[in-house]
Amino acid sequence: MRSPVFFILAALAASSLPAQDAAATIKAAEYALGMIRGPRRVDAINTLEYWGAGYTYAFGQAYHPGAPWPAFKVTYHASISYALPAMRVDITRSNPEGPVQGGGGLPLAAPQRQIQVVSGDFAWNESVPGAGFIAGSTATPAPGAAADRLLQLWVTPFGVLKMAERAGTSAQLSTEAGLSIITFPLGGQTVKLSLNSKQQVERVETHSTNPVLGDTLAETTYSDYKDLGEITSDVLFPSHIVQKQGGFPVLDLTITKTDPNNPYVVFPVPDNVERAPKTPVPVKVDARNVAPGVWYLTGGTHHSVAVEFKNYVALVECPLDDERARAVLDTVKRTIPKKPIRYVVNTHHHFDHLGGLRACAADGATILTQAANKPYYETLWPSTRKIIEPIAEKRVIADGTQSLELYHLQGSNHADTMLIGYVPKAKVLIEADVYTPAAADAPHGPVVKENVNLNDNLKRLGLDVQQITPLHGRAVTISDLRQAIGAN
Amino acid sequence: MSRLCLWICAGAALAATLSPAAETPRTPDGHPDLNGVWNGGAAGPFIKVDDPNASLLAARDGTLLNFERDNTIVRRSDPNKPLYKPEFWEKVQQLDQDGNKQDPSYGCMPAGVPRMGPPVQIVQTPKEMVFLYVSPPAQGWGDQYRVIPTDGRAHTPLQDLDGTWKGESIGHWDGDTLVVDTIGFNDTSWLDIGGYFHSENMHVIERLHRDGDTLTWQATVEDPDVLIKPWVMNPRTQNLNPDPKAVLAESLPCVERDLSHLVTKEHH
Repeated sequence: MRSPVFFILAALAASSLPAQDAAATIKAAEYALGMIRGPRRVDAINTLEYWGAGYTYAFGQAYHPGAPWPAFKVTYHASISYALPAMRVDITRSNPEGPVQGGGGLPLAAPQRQIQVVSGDFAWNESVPGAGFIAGSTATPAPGAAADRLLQLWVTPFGVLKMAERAGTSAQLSTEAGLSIITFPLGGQTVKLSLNSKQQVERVETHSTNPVLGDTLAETTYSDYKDLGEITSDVLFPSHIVQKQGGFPVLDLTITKTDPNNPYVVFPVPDNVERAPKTPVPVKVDARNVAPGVWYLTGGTHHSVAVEFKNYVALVECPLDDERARAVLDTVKRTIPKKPIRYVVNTHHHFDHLGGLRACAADGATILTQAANKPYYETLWPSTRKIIEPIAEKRVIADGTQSLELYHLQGSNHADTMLIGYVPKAKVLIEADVYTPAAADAPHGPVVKENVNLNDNLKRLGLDVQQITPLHGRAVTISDLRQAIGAN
Repeated sequence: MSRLCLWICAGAALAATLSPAAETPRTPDGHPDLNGVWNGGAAGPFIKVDDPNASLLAARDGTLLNFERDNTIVRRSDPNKPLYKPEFWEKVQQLDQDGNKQDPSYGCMPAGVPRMGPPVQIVQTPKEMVFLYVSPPAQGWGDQYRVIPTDGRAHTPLQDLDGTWKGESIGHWDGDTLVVDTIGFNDTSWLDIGGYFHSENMHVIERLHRDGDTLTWQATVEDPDVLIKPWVMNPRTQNLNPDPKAVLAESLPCVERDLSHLVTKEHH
């Protein structure tokens, strides 16, 4: 039988061992965390729960381009079954201390509970734990999230060691600064796992593809391992977890309690989740002529607006990703044939409004964006250096038949680079995120400061808006905005 | 309370010494003959004596304290668990967390069906089966018996039954498998460690199948009051005691002296 001493010695000697000794180092790390238990020295950690508090951050939703992602204050409870595998993350988000600036849903009108679940190939969001099995509860399928959520499960300290062990001879051992590094393949990428001097998992690096950043490093660091169980178990878990993506934190948690003992961590899959199609909904773009020369391009969560000039088209917004951008381009070419897209307007720097920008500009269009975005975009995409035209406060595109006015929105807490568009001939306003109309039959909620700020800007600029084509939601009239802010 | 594992492990060791399965004998009426003392035990889901690295008492750092903690972690890692309705998840977790005080088997209460598991001796007649049980030392529920008619009678209507730990069982043969159907429980017993409670409307179906000198027992728990779907418990295999003079040892009397001295919620 291999004694603990064997594992410890194996780990200490790791720097001089060849790659095939990765297995011994992984075992040593599992032993160090208390995973290896019982007479047979088996990895006995099948379930885990942990509780904590801290911050989550809205990736890609910074207030200023290049700044850290904006924070939500959170309480956090994760339940994991490594055997299934499955994970439920139950978060209650609230506004952080101090000024609240940036996107991602900030500021919150009230604390918001989010329950995200993955079990095998199924992913869904719950209104309450166990939704779908409780009358009046809602389980919303989220098939596109399954892979990301499973990855979050496998980058936990126990998860990453289990997967490294499963990788067998594909796991490789090396050393950096005297510490053990294990690399192994997982889901088409290479995961890098760093151990500290106590053979505890210190850092896990994974990669994902992002429409704005491209290949994006996610780095999770674990520190200050303790037995945090209410019932002593000798299972060690980090009391501090920080995950960074795109260079800034997306998660910063202080863990206060763990329960590796609790056998009752379950994830029944609701019927509607099981029946939901797993393939993504095909991208669809609907073009509607809302005014002479103004086309509202909807069909998804993020819209665009095409403004037709005599010899060309100005396209406001290419959101999400290349796929959405290509679908928007095809629709514009079909709807307004034989006129090139000369200008592509980007309303602001948030990733969901930015992801398709390069694809839309690929045929030679000029990108119009707020001036503060230019250095950020040029750093992200050096090839755009010559095609970005910055707008400080105002830019007018006009050819005598049509005009499109672009203004820098003042006073927004959503993004400090926000542009709005105005088509004077049709009296149409184009805006993103600062006013998303409620459904037609929905009662008005509390007054939203961004809506008020938009209305103030319209007054400041003296714009005679009659119709609004928001880049989320539905087309409305100016009276809808005024009702929303109680100005009527 | 760690004596439980010693008992299981000792049984496992005995099982390893038995000869391979023999032909299944039959009674004159043609059914498999289940008569005998079935206390040979078998390897549980976590401890297999054929593992050359196995050691009965080895634990982290070789201390008895860690043996208890290891034992707790390992015993509770079984992924097969009853699926409760979500409104009961918190209750299960709370019962488990306070298991030292809440688990009825820690207070000399009967384990009940199905937690008492397979019988250790069976007496078979054409019209009834008698199941005999001896409790493990860690669980002080003592010597128990069940008399199970196999004469084709129906259950007493549930509303006429007083809920009991063992309920009302009737048996029938499904081919070569003895099926024991039980209703009429109280809601005091647990299905297993982990806070796995049940309602009075629980319905348990046990299936016993003899293959040579081994007896496989498996129970399915139906309890639509609290479970989303029936729970099929892990099968357990018992070996026939080869000694024709084998008798059951008397259970130790249960005198609970430990619970009042427990100062933590650590499981044992």
